[in-house]
Amino acid sequence: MPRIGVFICHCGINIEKTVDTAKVAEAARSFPGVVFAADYKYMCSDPGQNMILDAIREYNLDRIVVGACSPSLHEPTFQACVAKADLNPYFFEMANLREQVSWVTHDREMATEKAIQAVRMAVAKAGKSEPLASQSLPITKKALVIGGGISGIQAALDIAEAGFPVILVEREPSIGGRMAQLDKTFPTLDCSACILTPKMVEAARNPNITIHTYAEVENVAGFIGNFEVTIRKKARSIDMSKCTGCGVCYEKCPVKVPNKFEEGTGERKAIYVPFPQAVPNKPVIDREVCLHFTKGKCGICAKMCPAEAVVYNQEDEVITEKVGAIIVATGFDLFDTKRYEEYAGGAHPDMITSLQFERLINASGPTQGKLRRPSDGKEPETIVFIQCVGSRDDKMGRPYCSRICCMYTAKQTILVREKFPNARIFVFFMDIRTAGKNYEEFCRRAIEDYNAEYIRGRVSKIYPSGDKLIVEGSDTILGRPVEIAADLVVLAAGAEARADAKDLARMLGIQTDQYNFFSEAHAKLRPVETMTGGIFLAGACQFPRDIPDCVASASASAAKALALFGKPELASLPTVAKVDESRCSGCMACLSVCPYSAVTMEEVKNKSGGIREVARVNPGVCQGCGACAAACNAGVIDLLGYTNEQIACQVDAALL
Amino acid sequence: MKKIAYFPGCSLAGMDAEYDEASRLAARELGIELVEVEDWNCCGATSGHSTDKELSVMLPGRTLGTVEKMGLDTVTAACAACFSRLVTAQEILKEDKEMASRLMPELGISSPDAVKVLSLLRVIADIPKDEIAGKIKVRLEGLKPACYYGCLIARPSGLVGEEHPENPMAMDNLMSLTGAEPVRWYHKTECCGAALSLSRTDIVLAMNAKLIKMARDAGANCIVTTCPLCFTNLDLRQPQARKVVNETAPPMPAFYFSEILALALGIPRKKLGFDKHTIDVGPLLDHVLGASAGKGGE
Repeated sequence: MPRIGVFICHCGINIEKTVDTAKVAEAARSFPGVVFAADYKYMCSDPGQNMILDAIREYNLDRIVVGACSPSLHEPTFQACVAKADLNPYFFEMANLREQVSWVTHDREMATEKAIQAVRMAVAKAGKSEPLASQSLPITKKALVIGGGISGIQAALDIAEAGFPVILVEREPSIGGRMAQLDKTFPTLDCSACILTPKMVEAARNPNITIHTYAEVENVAGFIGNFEVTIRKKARSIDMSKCTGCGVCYEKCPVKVPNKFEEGTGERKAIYVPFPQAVPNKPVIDREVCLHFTKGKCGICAKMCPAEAVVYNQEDEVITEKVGAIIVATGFDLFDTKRYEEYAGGAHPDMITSLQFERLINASGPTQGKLRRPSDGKEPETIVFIQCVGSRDDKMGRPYCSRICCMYTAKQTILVREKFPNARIFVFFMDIRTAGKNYEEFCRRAIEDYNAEYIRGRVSKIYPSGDKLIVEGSDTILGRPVEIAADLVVLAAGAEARADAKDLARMLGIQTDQYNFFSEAHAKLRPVETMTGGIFLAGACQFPRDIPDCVASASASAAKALALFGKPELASLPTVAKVDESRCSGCMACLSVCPYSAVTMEEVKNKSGGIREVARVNPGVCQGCGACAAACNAGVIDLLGYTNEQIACQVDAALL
Repeated sequence: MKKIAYFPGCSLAGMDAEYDEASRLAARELGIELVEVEDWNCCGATSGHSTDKELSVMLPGRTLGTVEKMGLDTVTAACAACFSRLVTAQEILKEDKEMASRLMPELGISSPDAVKVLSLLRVIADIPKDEIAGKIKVRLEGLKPACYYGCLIARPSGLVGEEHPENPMAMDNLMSLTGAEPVRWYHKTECCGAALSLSRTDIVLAMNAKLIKMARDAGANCIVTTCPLCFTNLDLRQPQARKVVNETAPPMPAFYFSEILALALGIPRKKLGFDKHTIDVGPLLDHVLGASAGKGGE
């Protein structure tokens, strides 16, 4: 028979004001196995914990139940406390009398009754608890960073600086990401490439960083400290060791297609580097459009290459790497502004997205930085910026604020003014959201010093008339309709999750929110961790972020990876699922419900010598969610610490 | 022949009899018999619907109940406002369970969506393209309609079916089948001003003058609509609107979509009430029908 001690916390007045804690303690004394019960103002305080330690010694207690707040808050506190008295931490049980009772039940009598029942259930469960222990697991002290934008680069540099190797995987032919596409950056107006390219080069030069561009992560197996990742390095059709980056190949290539890096505002060749400062500065052949691959002709690039580096028959290379931590830094996509059909039917040459604007005003962009109307090459005299296109719009399924558009629009108005002192610049906005260091001042400057005319209101329609775009909207401050004949309209396209974010989430076993952004483990207290151990988030793949926030979150995720690498080995979670293999029928219902891919099918030998299949849970991967235990038809999976027997005892106690 | 209950509403029973006539004839050619709802009453699109919510449900609700009694599963209204009232009444009955349980037995409605409500445009747009194309007898080449949907055919989105609220296409696609060349323009769902037609005529005239200008600028030689209120503003009020902006370009004929369809389906021009239009459609029809070798003309 276990000897159980029960301690009821007042939590100041949080619990005591609606729960008669003395009465709960009194009731607990009559529960089977309880040899001691008391109540106290703050059980989590030092005197409260000492009270538990004293009672353990005096009454020879071997199970402890505390009725207090949520286990997510103080379970570790009390587990550490009982461990001091040489009790197994899993001999501790918690009843939540605050969040689940006093905060939600207002009638004192009913709340007290509910608290007694909660404690009775905890006592019943504690009576059946078994000692549990962690296993130690090795850690591969190497990180994988997925995505080579500013976030991924920063995270990789931080980890490499600390002396650990990093694999940086980028889908495009060059690292650099969105930041490489931008012209100037707010609120300092320094050139984006000027501050980014040194970091790109630093990443390439750092001996601890291995960069795979034009590559994608194809599979992830394993668990925290022990991942095994499969990376497909797409055939570049170039021998990287021979190529000198001279550029003759793409000068001579006859095929022109829209350049994705230029957001379609400019062209590239079939063999190309996406932009002049690319890292690595070596081309790839786009096999979808290259004449050699589509028609079996041409071959000019191979003929011209002085280094004989063009390799048409190069094949994809699939490599595997063992890593201990993964940082996801895959960035964001732009909202498809064509969905606004009231804006010139969705598309018009002189209606561009904010990112296209960045390319058109950038000195290395397709117009060498001369901002001209795409339709006829004229200098624009009236430019209208429209904010919140695909942000804060429920109808488009984008109720959230994209956070970056107010600031980049203000910046873009300044860039326009610097080129065209006499232009009229209008900005339609809903609210101006400039919460950031020196942000509000920056936006005021755009309005006051650079004379951007800000109009509060939405645009209801844009239509072409002659060579102008007529922008119809409302000025909700003056309370009247506005009509502007614009030469150029810039739509501040919102940020959204990558189109394939969900696929990556599934591969990694991490969660996404309703917009397919990756979910953090806790919105406030675990902002860069995912619910899956060893996988961290950086940058705008989690939610729209500007550059300073991306860099901060990247360094935060690197710190989390480094904290992991700083440990000699890992302690596994003791409360994991366990299959009674002797009774498992091998139906594998558990395998399909496991969100962490912790269940595998294994072959075991029967007594008769035959082979049968059973489920097995990898305790290193299992996060203790219990889904498999619930799904098991035969009831042969137990979640340790929450065994089927313990749950049944709790239910019995609840029904008493 | 497929039978669909048909709610003409006050406009089509009165001032817009030509829309009624053209709609019935065109539908019959396409294999649809429009069966007039027995003893129908006002749809409530008047001030009725904004003065009393219950009344706004009961007026169209009675029609829905009658259609059920007639044993038909679909009701259509040619008038956009009637259509809107019928759909809205269904929606309120779906959402307001208390009101539904009180009113539905009285109105003879078994369930809020027992009867499907479709605009006449949708009924015809749902006929397979090939089927319509096979029945076109007169190709209306040279007709360049600006298809004008107004506010109630495509809105509120989510309530009225699959039309895009900002850029509906059903009428454009239908017009293309007749050989006409609908123009791309950006004022398909702009307000015609019907709500202010009597109280602020000055505003309405300015709005109409703009609509007609936009259609003309887009290359249209006529405006085609589905709504009697839009039609009244575009046709009856056009001479006034022209004065407001000192318009010198020739007037822009307006049509109901079913009139155009009826012509293309071979209904003789004389059988259709073009003489009721304020803006003379004669020269344009002479031009278009002359071009199609007189077939189906006078």
